[in-house]
Amino acid sequence: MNCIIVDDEELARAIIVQYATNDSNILDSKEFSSGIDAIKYLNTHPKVDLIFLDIHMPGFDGFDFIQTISSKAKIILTTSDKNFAIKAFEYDSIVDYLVKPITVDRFEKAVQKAILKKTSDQKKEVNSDVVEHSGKDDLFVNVDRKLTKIDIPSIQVIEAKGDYILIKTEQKNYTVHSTLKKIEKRIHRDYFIKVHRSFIINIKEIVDIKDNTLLISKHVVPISRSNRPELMQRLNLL
Amino acid sequence: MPEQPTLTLIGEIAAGDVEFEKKLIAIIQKELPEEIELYNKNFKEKDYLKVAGNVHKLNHKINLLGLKDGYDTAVTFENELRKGNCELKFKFDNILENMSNFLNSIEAPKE
Repeated sequence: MNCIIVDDEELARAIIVQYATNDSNILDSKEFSSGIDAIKYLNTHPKVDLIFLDIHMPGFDGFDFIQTISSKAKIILTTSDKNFAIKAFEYDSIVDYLVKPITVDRFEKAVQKAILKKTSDQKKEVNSDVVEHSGKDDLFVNVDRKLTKIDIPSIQVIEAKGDYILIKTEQKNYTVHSTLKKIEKRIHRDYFIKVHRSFIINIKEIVDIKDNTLLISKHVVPISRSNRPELMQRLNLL
Repeated sequence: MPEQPTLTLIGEIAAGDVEFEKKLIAIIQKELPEEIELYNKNFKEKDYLKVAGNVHKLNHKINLLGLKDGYDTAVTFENELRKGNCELKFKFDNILENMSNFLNSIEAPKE
């Protein structure tokens, strides 16, 4: 996740920057002492996933900030007020609030909440994009001018290759003229997950994970840094 | 005897990272006098709403230095200021003085 920290107090920013630097879920963090500067940044950097936002800033407070931005980033409010009012949760983008001084445990919990909310929002978006979804396990693909049936649960890996996708099942591989985005909508199941911009995998078929790759059957699949946190979250880790 | 500031919480936040702990202390030593100056300026101008905002901001540092009673005083003072009541000023100023003395007694970390 890419995050920004908005707080007029240097001390508060320093603590969050330190925690963010040590948190493997956070890839990048930028800090701003004014809400206006942060808004300017968000206008040109749409890929911000998470905002740590101080509520009490002179002139332009946290709630003014939320009403002004059009970013889809999740927001974690920060406040010195232990009896903070629940007004915060009137906004769907707010996932949590942290009372200063922020402890590392509480910080990590809030980041996890943001990841979960982001994942659940993404799933909702995919669902709403699906025009029709029969709920059955059959997927028909056009291979050599024939509509060929593939049993969706048997799909192990889908790899993007230029204008084509390679669908790998235990028995056979299929090369289809399509995109990962299109097939993602058609096979929407809990057990499929994108682990790289060119790979969707069936999570049930994972044999092992080592460093930045995973093994499915005989296929070695790369895991990108940005997709790794969601994958790790979906695994039943001991 | 009034409660005394400590660096316990700062140490917990730094979690053994000595450089980070020094950095936090240096920031407090720099920011606290600036925040107190602004608080005094707004008080002189009798802009109690701004003063309430200053007290709110100072509360983070009060908390961070482990002053639990100080925190309660600051919360009450902030609420009272929003109603235009500044009776707790003397008590709050003593907390600030206590913090300033404590921070001045710590050697400024070397850059």
